[in-house]
Amino acid sequence: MVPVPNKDSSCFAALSNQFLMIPFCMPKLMKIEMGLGGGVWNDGDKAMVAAVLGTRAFDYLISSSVSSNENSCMGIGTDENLHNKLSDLVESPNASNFSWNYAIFWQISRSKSGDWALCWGDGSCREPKEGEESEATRNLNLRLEDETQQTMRKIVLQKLHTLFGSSDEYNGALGLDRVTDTEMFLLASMYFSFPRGEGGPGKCFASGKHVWLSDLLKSGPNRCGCR
Amino acid sequence: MSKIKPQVLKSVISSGSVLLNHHHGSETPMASRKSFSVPSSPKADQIPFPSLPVYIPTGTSVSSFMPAPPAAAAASEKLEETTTPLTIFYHGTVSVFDVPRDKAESILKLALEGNSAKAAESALAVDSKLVLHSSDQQQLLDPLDGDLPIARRKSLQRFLEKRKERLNSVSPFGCDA
Repeated sequence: MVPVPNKDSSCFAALSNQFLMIPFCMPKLMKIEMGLGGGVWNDGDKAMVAAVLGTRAFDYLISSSVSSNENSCMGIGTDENLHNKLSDLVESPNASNFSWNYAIFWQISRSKSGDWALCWGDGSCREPKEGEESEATRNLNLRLEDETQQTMRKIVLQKLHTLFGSSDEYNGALGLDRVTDTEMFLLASMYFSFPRGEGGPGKCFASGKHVWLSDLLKSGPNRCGCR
Repeated sequence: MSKIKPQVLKSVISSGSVLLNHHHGSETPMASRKSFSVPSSPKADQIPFPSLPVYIPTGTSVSSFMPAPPAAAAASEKLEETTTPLTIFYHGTVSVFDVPRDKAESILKLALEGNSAKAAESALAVDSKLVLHSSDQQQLLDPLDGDLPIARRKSLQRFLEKRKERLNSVSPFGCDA
């Protein structure tokens, strides 16, 4: 994670050129059954979300959203300028023809009790290019599995949207199209928040230093986005 | 103005309250605590609930009982639940409300009291939480509703719009949103 200094408040942008989900740390293993985002989870919901996000990320999501019920992340808007900067990071290759797959801006906010936390600020990810489609769409054998995965992703996104208190419909564009790994990661990240010191971004926040993670895909399942 | 036939009305009621009403097919289910008295000649003019939402049913069998425009309230209850469905058939439409028993009784009292100003007042004071379809229930009770993180919503909207644009530009037919 690379801190990007900002005039108004110093926040951090999480950048990655990894394609897959980076599992988050579990700060405390609190198995809370209900109350996630104001909605009620049934076992089927939980299983599906855990399958798509990964168990570690799912556990973190449950524990963090219950414990941070003061919801310090309300009412924060970001400006067009920020979004353009994030888009540039993923869309415009630099001199070495390198660009990031996604960029997330985690906004610092403070709860009523005075605790600091990082919440979703804004994010952008790269559009999938031609020829970058996954193996599954070309290989007939894998296509059914891929379709199932796609359906599950869309259901999970709808569930997260609803269960985190949204009454408006999670509308249709995704119904027509694929959700790539990177996009799934970006969209799911919107529901995460990191108290200072917790999770990858939270620890980066607490330390005030750059964190550079490499070879995450190769490291074992215990390796998560934090140090 | 036609009135609903009393025997038709009672057959509707008795079919609806089969589980609960032990006097199955009885004429006047007034004695039981769990059933409600129903006017045998409803006054179609009196409308105690002018603002309640109604939805038009598609082909319910009940509508065949109903010559227009009758007003009738049929209470159908399930055992052992604190709120139970109250079904109101009115003017060719059907509404279902989940109500506790005392509220259901007050609603029926209002229907019987008719057009008095007092009845209209207390009808408006009826708890708006009665007006629920099951899918809405969670949103009404959800304290976060309306308090959403703005950043998340904006990001999501932007993402979906970008996606729509991309799909539209790719489509050879160039359909508009």
